Amino acid sequence: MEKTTEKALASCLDSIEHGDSLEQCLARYPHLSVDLEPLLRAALFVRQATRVTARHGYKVSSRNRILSLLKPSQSPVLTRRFMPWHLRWTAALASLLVILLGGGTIAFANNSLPDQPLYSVKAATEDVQIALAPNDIYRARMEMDLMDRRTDEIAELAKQNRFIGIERANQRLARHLDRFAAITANQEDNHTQTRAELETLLERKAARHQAVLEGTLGRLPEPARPQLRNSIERSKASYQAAGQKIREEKLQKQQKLQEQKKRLQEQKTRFPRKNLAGKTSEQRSFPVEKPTNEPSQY
Amino acid sequence: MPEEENLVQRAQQHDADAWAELYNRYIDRIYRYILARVRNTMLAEDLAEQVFLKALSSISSFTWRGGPFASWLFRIAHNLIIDYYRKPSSKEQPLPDWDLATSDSDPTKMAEINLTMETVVVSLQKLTAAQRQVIELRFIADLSVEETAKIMGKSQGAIKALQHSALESLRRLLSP
Repeated sequence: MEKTTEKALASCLDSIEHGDSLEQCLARYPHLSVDLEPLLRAALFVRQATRVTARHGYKVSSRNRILSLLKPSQSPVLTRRFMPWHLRWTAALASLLVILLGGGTIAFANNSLPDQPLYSVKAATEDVQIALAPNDIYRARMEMDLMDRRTDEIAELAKQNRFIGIERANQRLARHLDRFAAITANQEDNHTQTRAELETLLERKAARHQAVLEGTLGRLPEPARPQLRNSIERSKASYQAAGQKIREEKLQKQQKLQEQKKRLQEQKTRFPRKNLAGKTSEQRSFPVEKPTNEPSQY
Repeated sequence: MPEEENLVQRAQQHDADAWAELYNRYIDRIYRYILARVRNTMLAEDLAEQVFLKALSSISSFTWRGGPFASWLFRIAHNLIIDYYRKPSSKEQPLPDWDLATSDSDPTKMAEINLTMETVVVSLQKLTAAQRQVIELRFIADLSVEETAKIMGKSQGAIKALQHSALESLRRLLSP
């Protein structure tokens, strides 16, 4: 009986959603109508009572803010493949400026600090900007810009004695560093220059972070200092961990490369290639000039 | 559905018109669903916008094999609400505020609408978590049984049984 009512209820709700009236539906199940009617009325009541819509003004501005984020990646292929390197950076920086300056509430949220309600909008906007970045290098640069932002937020919160938000800023900073390290470490070997540049930039960011916060620390009253000092230590550890991650990854790649070379060398020694006469290069009877590098037939 | 599939494919290519269309299609339902949970219009607006920002950043991971687009979007909304309540800052919850947008400018009527909404939402809080969710998804967010089943990770049969027991409990709670 229970199962039958369940099925009839589901069927009635479905037909009401498609335009039938409650009475029409009940007429199809006369033997169940006593059970069905109060359930259908409850469902319709909930639907009717909660039929609210978001404010029109909110919808317009919210939609515009979301759509404005689509602008930077409109031609990702063009940006990635066909633009000269220096123009790519200009375009990337211009897009970044558009992103950072565009949108009323996003701009407003951009001023919020980690202990404020609008900060979640700021954080979500940043994550979207990173997700829409046209390539890894641009993404790494954005992560670095955001590291600076976190540093400034920590300094501002400390100045205002608002230490609760510092924890959140530190957590986001650690995430930026982690993602930055992963991007940098994954740079292909033929991009060693880019990797070196990113490593140098990371060192500069760490130095800036330290300088800004040490400067703030000096201006704080003594009782407030331990909390900021603690934060400085934590963020310093995050920067060091990021640097370490890049170095370790680099070392691993180098070791792998050396192992590959060694294996190749061993194979060459074990199975020396023979020339057309069936002799190895050492067995050849005619004198040859000792090559400076590897023998040419190899 | 093929029309929506096409729309989502365009959205995955970062097509602004497709995003505008998806936004228009879902914003009110997402907003209602969140509002019923957080009971504060400003907070609901903030979270509803975050749903679309999150969708924008992860649209490339969406596939139709995982279920309809609506299920994916409402799962994001559901997770954001959970995240919100997990945060220590949510301990200081904003007061219920039904500053609802209605076409009616009559203050008495508006007060009546707000009161009805509050009655429903307070009653929903007395249901089990699964019953509450099924009512919210089916009758507030207007999702189909199939979409609800995908979000809740249950079979369609289980959703039908759940909506039956949920409406039974709700009817008792709403009866004078």
